[in-house]
Amino acid sequence: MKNPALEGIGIGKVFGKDGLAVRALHPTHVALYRGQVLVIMGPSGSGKTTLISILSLVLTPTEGEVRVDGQSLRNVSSDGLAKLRRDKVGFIFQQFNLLAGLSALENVAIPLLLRGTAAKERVARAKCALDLVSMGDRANAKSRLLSGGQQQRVAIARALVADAGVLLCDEPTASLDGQTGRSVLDILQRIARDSNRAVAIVTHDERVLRIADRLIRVEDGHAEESEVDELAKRRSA
Amino acid sequence: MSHDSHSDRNHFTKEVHQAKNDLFEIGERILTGLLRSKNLLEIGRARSHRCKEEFVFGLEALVEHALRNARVFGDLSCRCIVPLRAKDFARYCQDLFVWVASAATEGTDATDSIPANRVQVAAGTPGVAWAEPVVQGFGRVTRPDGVRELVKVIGVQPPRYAGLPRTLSAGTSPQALRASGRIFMNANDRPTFGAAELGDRVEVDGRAGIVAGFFEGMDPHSPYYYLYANIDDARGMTDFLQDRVTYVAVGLEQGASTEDVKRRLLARNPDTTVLSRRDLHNAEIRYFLVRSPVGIVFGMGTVVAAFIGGAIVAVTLYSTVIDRTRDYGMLKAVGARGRDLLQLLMFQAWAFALVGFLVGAGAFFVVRHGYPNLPMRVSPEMLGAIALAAFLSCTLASLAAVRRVLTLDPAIVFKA
Repeated sequence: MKNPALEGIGIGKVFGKDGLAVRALHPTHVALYRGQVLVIMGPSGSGKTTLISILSLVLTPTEGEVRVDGQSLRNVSSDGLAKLRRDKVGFIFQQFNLLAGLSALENVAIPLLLRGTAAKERVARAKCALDLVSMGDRANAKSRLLSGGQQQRVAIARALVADAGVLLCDEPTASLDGQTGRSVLDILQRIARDSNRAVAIVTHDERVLRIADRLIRVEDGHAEESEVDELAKRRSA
Repeated sequence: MSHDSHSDRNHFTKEVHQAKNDLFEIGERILTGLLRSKNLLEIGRARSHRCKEEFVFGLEALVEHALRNARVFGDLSCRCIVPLRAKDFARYCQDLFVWVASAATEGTDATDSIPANRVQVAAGTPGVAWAEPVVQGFGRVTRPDGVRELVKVIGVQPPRYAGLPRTLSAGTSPQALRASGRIFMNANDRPTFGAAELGDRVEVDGRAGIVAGFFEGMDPHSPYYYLYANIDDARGMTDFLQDRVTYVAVGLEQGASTEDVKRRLLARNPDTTVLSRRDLHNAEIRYFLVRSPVGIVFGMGTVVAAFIGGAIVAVTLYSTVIDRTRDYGMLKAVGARGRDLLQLLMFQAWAFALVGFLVGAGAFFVVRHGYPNLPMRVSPEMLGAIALAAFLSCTLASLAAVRRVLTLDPAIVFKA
């Protein structure tokens, strides 16, 4: 197997100290590979959010370490982590988190703006990313005027625009109806396969298993990778 | 001061006045362009062509105005800042004088008289070209509607009439005060005296004065009127003692050092105070700020206004950050560094400052243009200081919002 694009080695998290300490995630190993879709499932309060927060470099683990393209992040500063998030990781959120006052194009261009990319190139690349999710014709529409499915596509375009190798998706279909959800999942699967990106999806939605290559179940802070057979069984079910 | 010199000065004053009026007109045109557009960005994006045209037209007019009036402002700079022309420089030096006054003097409203022989003592001091007495006293002036009000009468003496305002109205000559019973009135007070005209009669404590001229550019905060008369008439109107004077105005010889002459004058008149024009100016400001309610009222007003303005900006920025917590969280999650967010917040805070400054300054100029008689003055330095204060206060006001954003946990974006 190739080297993982993103890897959590023995990562665990305890919130609080001493008598008030609460363990949210027991030490676990998670690896995200290019070209694969990893689905992380579990009930509410199981530690999914903690796990994806650590993998997305917004939360520092109390145990273990995260590596991006083999590089340890143990001694990286907060600005360094921000830079890594900007350049290496794309995010798709349950609530889309688009800036309401900006157009679809301007929202997609945000990561490039943070990189300091020139305006002309920003626009060209944002348009390309919108075309990839079939939203090129709504580029100038204000994001608040778009439907849920369209907003999620814009969010996917925003995650793609900076050519990040890893896409982390938090409940990407939770706010969408069945058909729109399916089309979003198709886009994510296509991104993983055709663009050779590592895609991780945190979800409650069993429908997501349709595109999963690997499955990690999280329960009571314990994360465990399920066998492929089980995944196939659940898929067929 | 010679008649030619006054005529030159009046002409020059008119030119400056005209130039300033042109500037206000252009400022209004630019403001109109700004106000008619929905927002500043529209100008840049040229969505509103009409607004853009007005804005550009205003700017073009401003440049044209600057070029057209370059001579006037250049001349102003020559006289006030860089006296390059030898003739002007010599005249400027001749005009420099210092004031000998009572040692108790705190300002022109808080002074005492000194013996009249100080004029001769001052005139005989090395470095002094001339010395002239000035008296000031108070009387009661009767307005056309019968109301009696306090008036400060200032008496000046030929041939130089030292102490007269430097901006006499067009057609007013200091020589008019040679004749007995003549007075100069503040042009701003004309409406109060029934649209006073030359030749009108004004009574001060039963003594008649004929209006022989007007002066401009003097907008006192004091609750009384100002009249100028020749020194004998002023004494008569205010019962000022013949052997006393309020000030001795002293002209310096060309090339004489103000500080040296001040020292010599003080040595010869140890029971007085000797003030340069700047000293007197500073003393007057200090007196108004510290000893009169003006400083407290305006000072407190300014502090309270600045505090309220700062608080409004702080609350607005902070509540904006609270309302948009997820947006800021998203920005942090997708890789915005602390400095990126700081720039974003500073941009907003400075936009507040800029808009506040433009609205405030615009309102000031519009009101001043609409009501030219109001005593409203602002120097470029003061405008600069106000702009700086606005930017500083908005920067300070943004600190709470900045702290909130910088300490925001980007993990909130993963919470539903």
